[in-house]
Amino acid sequence: MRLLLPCLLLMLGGCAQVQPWERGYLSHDVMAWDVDPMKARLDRHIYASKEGSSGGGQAAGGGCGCN
Amino acid sequence: MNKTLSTLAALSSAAAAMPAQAAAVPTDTVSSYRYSQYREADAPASRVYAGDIERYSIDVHQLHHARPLAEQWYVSGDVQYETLSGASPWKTYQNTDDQSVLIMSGASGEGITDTRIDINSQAKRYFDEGTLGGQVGVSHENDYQSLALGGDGSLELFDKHTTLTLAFSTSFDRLSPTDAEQYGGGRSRADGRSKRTTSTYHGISQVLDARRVISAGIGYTHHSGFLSDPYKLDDRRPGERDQFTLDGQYRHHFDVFAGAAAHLDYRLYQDDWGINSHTLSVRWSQAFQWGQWRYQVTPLLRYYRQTAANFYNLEELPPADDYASSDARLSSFGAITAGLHQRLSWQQWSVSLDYQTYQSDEQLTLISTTEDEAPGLVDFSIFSLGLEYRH
Repeated sequence: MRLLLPCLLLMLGGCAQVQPWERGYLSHDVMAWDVDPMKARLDRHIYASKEGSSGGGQAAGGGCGCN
Repeated sequence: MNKTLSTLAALSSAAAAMPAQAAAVPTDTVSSYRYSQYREADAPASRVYAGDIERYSIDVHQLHHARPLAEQWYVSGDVQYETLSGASPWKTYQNTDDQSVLIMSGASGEGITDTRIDINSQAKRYFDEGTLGGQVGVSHENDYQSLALGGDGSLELFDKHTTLTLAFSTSFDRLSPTDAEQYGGGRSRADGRSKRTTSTYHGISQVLDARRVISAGIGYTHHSGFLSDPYKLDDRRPGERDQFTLDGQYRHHFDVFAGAAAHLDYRLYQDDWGINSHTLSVRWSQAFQWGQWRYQVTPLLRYYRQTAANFYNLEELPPADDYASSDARLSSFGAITAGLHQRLSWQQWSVSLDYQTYQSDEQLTLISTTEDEAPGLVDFSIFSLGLEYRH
């Protein structure tokens, strides 16, 4: 039942109780949100500089007059 | 002179570095270095009315160091140094044959060179049920200074199945374009002006089961100040901009060789300049293991499309009393990125190699394509080599 609220928030079904010792897969390197954080940071800079939109996944940080 | 990549866009990215599992205080000290080559394809010579066709070439050096401090703290510092050379579009306009032509920088005979240094540091305090963090960063160029501050927090709920995150950042930027007196125009108007950005992000991540995790978030960013591009001709943009994002990420683990995961990321973007965009990224991250050697390979496909800003204008002489810009980044276009990331690890060492190629085109919007050509759109590639040591 404790999982009901977040599942509803996400409008998703199928949430399961996952014990701490069952979370090995979730902590694998292949499951990281960013495959390589340092490179991902550079990629975000580049896309924000070369496209008309930016943001998502985090607060924006500093401005840029990139062209 | 013209800006290199960007400043401090990753101030609140610490959470993104973590595996999909809930946060625990990291115990490793990490030192890493990365060298990247960013290369833009030449501008189409047949459409360059004046200036150089050879566009930006940027070399980027990144240093990162992170370590635990006391039992509950984790601190990190980053330095990024960039050197840039090449040309960028000053203006695009439609000639009498209805062809869009470019005036590139370098028309005065001077090439562009610039350097940028970006330093930022983060500290995070870990609690039983979440984290609190703070960041500060500065960026310095000859013609652009930026100071950014940020804070973030996370809260774990429901036996750590759910994580709520909240991040905030603000930045103070000052412009001082080179040769402002000589060129006048936008450079002169921008000289000494400032920009202010405030941003907030709210996110939630949810463990679905032992192999699947999902996250979603909403972001809002407000810009104010001098938002025009001082180096472009006839570039007059509003002094305010509000940006909204909705994003989602999904990770699904599979038992293939030493482990694999499907990654699906999506972002919906909208702002009050009239730009709407969709970004979809798909990856397959595959690991192999031979004794102490671990090899991870991750191909990437990314698709991006956006609509044009309301004031995007290709007139040769747009009305001087109205907003206008011929910046291709404000045009209607689409782009495809293909990439491959490889990482080889042995004991505490790892080396990574990454290549991406980016192709953009006004016809890649796929739906509601435009008749306006945008020869200022850029194609580029990034080659990147990284080295990391953990202990």
